[in-house]
Amino acid sequence: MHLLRNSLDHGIEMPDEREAKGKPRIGEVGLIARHEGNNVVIMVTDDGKGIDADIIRRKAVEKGLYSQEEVDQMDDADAVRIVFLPGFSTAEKISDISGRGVGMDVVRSKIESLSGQVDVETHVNEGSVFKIKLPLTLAIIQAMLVQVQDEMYAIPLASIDSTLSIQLSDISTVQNNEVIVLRGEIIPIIRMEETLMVPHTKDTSELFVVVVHAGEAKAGIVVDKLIGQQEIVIKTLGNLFMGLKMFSGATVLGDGRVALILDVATMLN
Amino acid sequence: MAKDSATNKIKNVLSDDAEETFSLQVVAFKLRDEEYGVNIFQVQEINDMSDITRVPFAASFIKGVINQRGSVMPVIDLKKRLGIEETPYTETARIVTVIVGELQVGMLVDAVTEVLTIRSKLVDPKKTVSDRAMEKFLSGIGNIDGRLVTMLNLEEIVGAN
Repeated sequence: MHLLRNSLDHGIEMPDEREAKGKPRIGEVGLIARHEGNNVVIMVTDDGKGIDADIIRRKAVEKGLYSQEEVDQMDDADAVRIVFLPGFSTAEKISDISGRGVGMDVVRSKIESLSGQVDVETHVNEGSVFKIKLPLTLAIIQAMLVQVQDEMYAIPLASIDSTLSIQLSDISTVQNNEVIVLRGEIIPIIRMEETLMVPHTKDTSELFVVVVHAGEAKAGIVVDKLIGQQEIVIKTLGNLFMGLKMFSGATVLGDGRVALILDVATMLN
Repeated sequence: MAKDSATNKIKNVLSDDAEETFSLQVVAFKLRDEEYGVNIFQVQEINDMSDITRVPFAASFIKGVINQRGSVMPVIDLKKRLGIEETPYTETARIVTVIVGELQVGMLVDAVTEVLTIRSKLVDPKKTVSDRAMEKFLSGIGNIDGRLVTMLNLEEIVGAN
């Protein structure tokens, strides 16, 4: 949020100024988010005036953050990173929303407290790119919450093909393996209650099947109830559960309870 | 010479006049009828027992995970870990959240009694505990006027080593 304001306030020039530089009168601020390995990368881009390393050097010396010799030794990329230091602001006038000198350092410490990184790339008169890298442990995914006896689990929506309601009599066996027939296709089923050794508290005649896939493999996971689809925040289970492949993590539900997130690929093997 | 003075220091700790300098604050809790304790500096908080989510395929002494202020924290069934006969947990049961190195772990206990100050040196558990497997989980036994508090070695209990 703060980065977006900054791009508008510091980055984008006044329309006349932009026209004089041969740019369109309307500036552009972009927000890009994508996966990159185990991280989520968020980029805030603008096509404004960029950050002039020489101005940063001058301001840093004026504010006593560095000596003249120190800034002279810095290359442009390092000098630009001074904007992340506490107490630094280049805005000539303080506006309602920025230029108070508390900002980029707060942005950086917040991101670092989430074990992320922030960096900036800039070209004078071409614009700047602020790149935030956050570990995937904070990732939010869409999941289907299901109930098995008294327990609740989350299945990532990305692995789900379809869900259907069945009767016990719809399950047939092929060579001792339980299967269901769905639109002419034979799909093996996995009874979650048995696989996860869920304590049995009540009998149900109506069951639900969540048809999932992992690579080429396909299976129907039998559950008691579909609770619904929602966005969940993935949290790691931590070192005590190292080697536990069945769950990719856990999430805290709205009512404060914890639900485990099923790793579909492991379950299908 | 240096070795001699070190030996003297140990003797001093054992002698009466040094007892005032030995002071260990512990959070004491009950597992069945016995009293156990952990160093107060390792305890982060104590909470009522909340909904514990069972984790299939986890080690048997892990009761499950709970929501601890928004993060997911494992809870250890301490009686199971220490090989004490299991009894149901009642409304006096508490989850004692401890910090062990980088790990934050909850320990399920039957009841939390009080914060005690142990002023005498701990007794080596090797002298009293015959069970070799159990021994590594204990760091010593505190004696407060005949009231015995067994101090736990949390690093071993959570398996951080």
